[in-house]
Amino acid sequence: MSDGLALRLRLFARSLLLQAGFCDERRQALGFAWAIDPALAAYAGDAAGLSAARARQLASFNVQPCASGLPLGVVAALEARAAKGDAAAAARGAALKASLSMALSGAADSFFWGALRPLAAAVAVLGSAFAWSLGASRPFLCGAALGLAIFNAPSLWARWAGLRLGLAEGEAAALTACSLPAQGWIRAARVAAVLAIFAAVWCVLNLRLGIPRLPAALAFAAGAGLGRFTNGPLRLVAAAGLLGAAVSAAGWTGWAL
Amino acid sequence: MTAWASDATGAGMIALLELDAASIGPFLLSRPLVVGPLVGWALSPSWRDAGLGGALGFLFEALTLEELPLGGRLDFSASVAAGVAAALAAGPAAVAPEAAFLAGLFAGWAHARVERGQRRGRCASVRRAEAALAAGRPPRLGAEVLGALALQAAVTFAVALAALAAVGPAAARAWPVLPEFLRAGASAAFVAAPWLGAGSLAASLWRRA
Repeated sequence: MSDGLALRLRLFARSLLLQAGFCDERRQALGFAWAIDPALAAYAGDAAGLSAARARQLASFNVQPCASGLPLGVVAALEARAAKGDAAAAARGAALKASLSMALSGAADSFFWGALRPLAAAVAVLGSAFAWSLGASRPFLCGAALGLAIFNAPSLWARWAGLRLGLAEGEAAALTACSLPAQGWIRAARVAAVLAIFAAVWCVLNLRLGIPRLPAALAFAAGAGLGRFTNGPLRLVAAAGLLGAAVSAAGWTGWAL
Repeated sequence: MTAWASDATGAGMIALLELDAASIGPFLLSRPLVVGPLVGWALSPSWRDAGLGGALGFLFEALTLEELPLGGRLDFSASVAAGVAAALAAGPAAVAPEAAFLAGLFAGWAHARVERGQRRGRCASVRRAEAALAAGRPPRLGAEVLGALALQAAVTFAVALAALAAVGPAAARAWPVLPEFLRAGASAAFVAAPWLGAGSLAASLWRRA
């Protein structure tokens, strides 16, 4: 294994613990400093330079964790140049680290949290329903495994590819990343998630689980229509509970969804 | 499996899986759709109860998917909620699913508050690293990271164990003697929750697409 690949593997593995030291004041600073440390140690010219480089990495930092590979690679590449005598490289690295974290987080939050995670969950429900209909002994675990694969394949690839790009191209990697059609990916993943949710609801209602279709469909429609006004479903669930209690207290004994 | 062994096993599983929520990865191993089936499968004496853990996991997944952890925001710990509910319903306590759902909501809410305190306390790790660098010593970054992980797991274990050992039995005892209208209200919320969550999520995604 070449030194470059071994270093990249170490940075990648450590980036998986980026959030371990998350704190209010510096966010992911501790995790970032630990993740990039093998690169700093490999590139360092002297002890004073290594100490200064380590101190720079403890500045406040926050990025969507699946997109952490790119800033990690870019900063490592610029710290390598700084260690070789490029006096301005360290400052450029610090500036790029801050700006990249903000720029990447917007798109990565929308893609990974706001689109891919719901898609993975809906596919997990579909997978569970399919496994159930086939008579699998652990249908929920089968579905969960499918959902995990849907999310983790692109998220781990994004982390690895970002790291490779950043290490290879340095600050130019930011321009390459900007040229990606991220908005198109986000829109496509959201549409796919909506379709998967409808398919999952249809599948679950058509399994012989004894779920009455009309109340379930009404609750789904209520969630779709009212969710935006209640900032999510939790208040709607509380309202459903109050409604159920009121109906029961009023003496309608037929209340059973 | 005795009640204590079951509670400790459940709390241990929840503590390990919860690390994925905001410490390791993320790989989505901490999401309710994974935690619920796994905890239910590990603790349940029967196939049916294992499915109950899965169903509770999917219920909490539908309820919490719309909440995005942007900028480290943390209002509710979905993994602890789903794990506690699944352990109570599918474990030896065999708490009614509606009561387990309410106990899970409480545990998720409580864990998020404890986690906020953890995040305030971790700032000391960065300051220790800076102090070491200022003194000319290499910072013990790996030890700080591993310490933060161990503390996070220990705190989650304590919260989950307290919920399973105290809140669960209390809910199991209180549930049958609650007034009928309260049980009907909890049942209505429990049954409607996944559909309300799925509908709200689908509409939210469609508006943004």
